[in-house]
Amino acid sequence: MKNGNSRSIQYILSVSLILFSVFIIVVVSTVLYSRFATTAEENAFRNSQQIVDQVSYSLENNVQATSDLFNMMYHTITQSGDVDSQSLHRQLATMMSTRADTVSLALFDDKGQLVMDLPDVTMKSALDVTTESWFQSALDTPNHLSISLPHVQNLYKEQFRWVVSLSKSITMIHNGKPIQGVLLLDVNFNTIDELSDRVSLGEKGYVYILDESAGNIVYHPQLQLIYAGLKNENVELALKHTYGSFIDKTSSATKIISVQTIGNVGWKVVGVSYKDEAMTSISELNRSMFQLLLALILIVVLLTSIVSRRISKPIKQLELSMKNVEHGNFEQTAVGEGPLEVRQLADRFNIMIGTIKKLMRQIVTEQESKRTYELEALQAQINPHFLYNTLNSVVRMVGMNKNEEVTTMITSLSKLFRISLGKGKSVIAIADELEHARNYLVIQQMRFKNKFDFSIEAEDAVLRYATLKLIVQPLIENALVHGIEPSVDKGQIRVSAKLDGQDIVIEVSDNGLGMSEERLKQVNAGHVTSSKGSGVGVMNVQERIRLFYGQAYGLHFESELEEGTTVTVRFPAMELKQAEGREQGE
Amino acid sequence: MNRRQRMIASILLAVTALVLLISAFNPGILERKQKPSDITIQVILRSSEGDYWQNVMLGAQAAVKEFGITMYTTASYDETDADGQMQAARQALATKPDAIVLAASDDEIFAPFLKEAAERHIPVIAIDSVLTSGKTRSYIGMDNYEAGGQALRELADQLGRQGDIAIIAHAAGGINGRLRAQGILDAASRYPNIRIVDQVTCGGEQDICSQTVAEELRKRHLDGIIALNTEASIGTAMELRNEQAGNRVKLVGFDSSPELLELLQENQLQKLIVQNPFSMGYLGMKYAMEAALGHKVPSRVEIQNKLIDKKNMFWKDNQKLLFPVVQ
Repeated sequence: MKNGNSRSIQYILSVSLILFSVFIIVVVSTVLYSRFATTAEENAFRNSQQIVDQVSYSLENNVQATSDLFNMMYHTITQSGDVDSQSLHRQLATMMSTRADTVSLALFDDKGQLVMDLPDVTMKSALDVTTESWFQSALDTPNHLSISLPHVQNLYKEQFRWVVSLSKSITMIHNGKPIQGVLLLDVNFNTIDELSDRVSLGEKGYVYILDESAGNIVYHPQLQLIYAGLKNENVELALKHTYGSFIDKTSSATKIISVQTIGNVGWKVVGVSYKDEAMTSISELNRSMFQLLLALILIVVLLTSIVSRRISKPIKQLELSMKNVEHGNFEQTAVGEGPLEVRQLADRFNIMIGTIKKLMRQIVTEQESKRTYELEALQAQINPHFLYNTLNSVVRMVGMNKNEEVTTMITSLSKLFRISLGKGKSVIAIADELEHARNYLVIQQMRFKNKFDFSIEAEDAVLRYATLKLIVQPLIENALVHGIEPSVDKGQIRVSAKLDGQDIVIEVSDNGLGMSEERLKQVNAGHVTSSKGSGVGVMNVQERIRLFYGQAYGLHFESELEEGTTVTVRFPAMELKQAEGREQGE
Repeated sequence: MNRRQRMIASILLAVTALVLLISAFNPGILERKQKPSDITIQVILRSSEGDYWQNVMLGAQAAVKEFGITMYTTASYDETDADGQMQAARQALATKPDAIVLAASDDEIFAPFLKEAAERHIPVIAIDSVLTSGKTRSYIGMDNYEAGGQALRELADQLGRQGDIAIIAHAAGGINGRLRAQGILDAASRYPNIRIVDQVTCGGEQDICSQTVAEELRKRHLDGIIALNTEASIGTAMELRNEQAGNRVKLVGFDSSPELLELLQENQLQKLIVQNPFSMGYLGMKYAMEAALGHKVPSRVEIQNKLIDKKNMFWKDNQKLLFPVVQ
């Protein structure tokens, strides 16, 4: 089907439909993808930045509130008379209790000796605060509030607490004398830790806090892993920017980094979220589109195979019908199924076949009638010849005054002609045909001066059946000419008619010369034309029988030299009316 | 192709198309256990008490948060209760976890458990204590043998490479305690003037360890002590403080706790060998997840220990290690 440039309907339909659906889906998914991708990225950026802004806002508030408390305490101490007074202690304790996250307050002189602490817990025995960074930075930058990184406070016995230390150099009155010292307020790191820990940036995202000046990590949910070298945080991007969201492609997973700076403490809140998490819906969409595409292709293949089969099947059937016609079978008509176009095609084809059949029948009829005319013409030729001979004999007998014989001869002749003329019909009753044969034999017997005897035997049942006119007489003529006339002995001709099953068998036998085996074969094969006689006789009979009754019927010769010849005529037994109907039908 | 085959092919095509369509509209319906979030990991610890194990849990939780794994934990109160732990482990196996992280109290007793886990194709990651009685996919923890050697070398330096040393071990030391003791003994053979004079085990609370040390100090002269576990270290340091023998008898201990750090600041002991339980918990979970996903995991991951003394304990990167929990 697929030779050269020609493709099957199914192929053409499938390919074009698949191409079409692929095109549609690719276009749709590209549009959707680009729109989704942009929106998703924008959303991810905005979301990340919002969260970071919120965290830093809370942190800033927290730090601000703590600084305010510190300043309040600072002023209370500087303006009070003596730091050892109980009222000051109560005042400060009340201030501390206003905020839940304050841990401890302590005053040191510039040598690092403890002046006062709240709440009153035991300090470590071997304590040297001068090495602590909060102490040094307070002294190094006077009148400036130092806020430390979160650290474990190493002041109190059996306490290791994570705090952020606020410290500032202070002038106070101790034991009646004004001295220089450092005020320290430790604030619980919990708030910051919890605040950052609660944040959710997608499933895996997190927030960490970076110290701007040294690039130290203030808070990180996985700080231990970073210190252990199991994790690495790329802080450079966050250090470079004070605000905004950026894409970090330094690690294997692309991250969205959002930065916000907390002004009052010099920290940066950095949000890290994973880009692929934000884009999950997109990759899912992509896969869905791909699966949709595959499903569509399968459906298209299925549909086109069904549709094209519905179209091509009737076409193939039509093709089969045409092939049948090619092989000469005009009987089968094409089945009118399938789509309208194919049905119309089949109808046209059937009409065409009908026309061809009609034309062919016309030709056959014409041919047959032509032959019939020919035969009738031949039939007509017999009579004048025979009539001439017979009349010659009559003249001779009149000359010899054989009146009685003349009468018989003329009577027979007239009967002969009456039957042979008939009513123009070519089919007559067997009884009539045998009567015709008898008259002929009577005439010939008189002409040949009793050179032969004859007998006609017929079963009564046979007589009413139909036969073609003038089939027995030519056989008798044949027997006389070839069998009896050349023979010196007295001849014997026997005509018999009988039923043989469904057939009628008429035999004409003589005891004349007979034929050689070789000649018999030729005669039976129908290859011989006689040189004597009217020349039409036997073969004429054969052909007419076959034309009328079919090829299965006709003449059969049996013969032996010096013994004689028997011709058998066989044709189906038919009622006269049936045979006449057939004659007219043909 | 005859009619029947054509029919079958059509039906197959239609079914495939249908499945694809359904999965296109319900993403994830065709996938099975490919994502970490679908994985369940059972963590079986020796104890839920103490800084060390809490730190392990913190690390495991960090992994849970990072990868979205589902984690179940069982831990016995008493570290010496190997049978109890074994029972809990067997029950956990029945819940069909995708992987197991195991810190075993005993080696031999877990042999049938490991066999059963292997039969069920559940990967087991050993943390803290190495297991030799059965097949584990990975061991994550300190090289305890090497750590023992390190402890002895530190103590030898403190003692000027000569002196009599006793080893104090806690009964709950388990597999690790044995390995550390072996490391100490093997390392001591390189110091001709160092003698391991005794090796004692104390059970129960720290004060029992203190009593054991007190007896030991009465019995013989000692220049140094190596305490193999937290409890033994605390008990020994307390006793040294009581006897005011901190300067006379040098002490190297294992692991950290607030008490130990306090004692370290008071010079009652000189060095602590501190593991990184957070990393252990984190890596245990991470590799258990990888193993459950069918990835290759290293068969042994050694986590570097840290040598902590009075000077470096407040260094920035040690603070988080020694004081993991923000209070």
